[in-house]
Amino acid sequence: MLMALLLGYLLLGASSSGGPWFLGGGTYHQLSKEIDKLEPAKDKRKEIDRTLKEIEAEGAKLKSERSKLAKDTLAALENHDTPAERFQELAHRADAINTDANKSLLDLRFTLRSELSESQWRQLFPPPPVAPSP
Amino acid sequence: MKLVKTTNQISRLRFRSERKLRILSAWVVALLTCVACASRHELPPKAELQAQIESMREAVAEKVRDAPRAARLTKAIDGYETELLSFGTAFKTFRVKLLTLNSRSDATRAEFDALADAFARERIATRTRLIKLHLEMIAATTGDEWKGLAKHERAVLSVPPEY
Repeated sequence: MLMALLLGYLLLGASSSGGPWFLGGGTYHQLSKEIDKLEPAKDKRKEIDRTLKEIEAEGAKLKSERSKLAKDTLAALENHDTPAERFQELAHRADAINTDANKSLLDLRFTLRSELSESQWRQLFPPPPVAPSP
Repeated sequence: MKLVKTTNQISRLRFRSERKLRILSAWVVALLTCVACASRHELPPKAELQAQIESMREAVAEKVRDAPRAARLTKAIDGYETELLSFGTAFKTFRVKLLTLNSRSDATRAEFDALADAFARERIATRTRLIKLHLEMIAATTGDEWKGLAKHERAVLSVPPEY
């Protein structure tokens, strides 16, 4: 869907990628496979699986909201008679979705962090190859 | 009589040849369009964005015959291009910073919030300017003209942002 593209990033920022931004573009299934390789303790693995399911559910919820927002935004852009106020409404709606999604995804990021050791975290989420300028 | 018959046959043959030629031409055009589309989709995002902006400029020249309004539209499209290229760079920087922060096992919630807030301010400012430019394009077109331009705006906004 278009929202994964420029329009989506303009409206929703990083959460527009359709899933948790901290996966770095990967999917829940890829993350689960990577976690298997780290061989966490069995009791920890259950907790991790629970968190992964929540991440997946959050991604699905975001995808649905994003899809509706995309449809409404594209209709507003295509219609010659759309008043300026309609764009403000859509922007407010996008910001509310973005705030909620960021909060939930950050909560889940920190939950997952607490379930993995420092070295497991580093293996799972290495820094990107290019460091940003300060 | 025989001459008339022969002339008719020649006309029919010519008609068939022309028809075949027209069908062949249509196929060639369709094929070239597909090739052009395929190569456009293979363009890196920045080049893809610039190509889509250029298509929008060409559509203005084709559909808006009134010179002052066409000039207003071109100016708005120039603004669109500048904003989107700048947003692409800002997004790329933000993404690298976010992944760098996430890779740190000791990163704090406050650090994430500060990074997200800074990018949100930048993104919202860009979005506000783009809405203004969109409304400027709307003001410079008739409903019919916009019908021909809206699909180009949609294509511009469909380019991935990782320039």
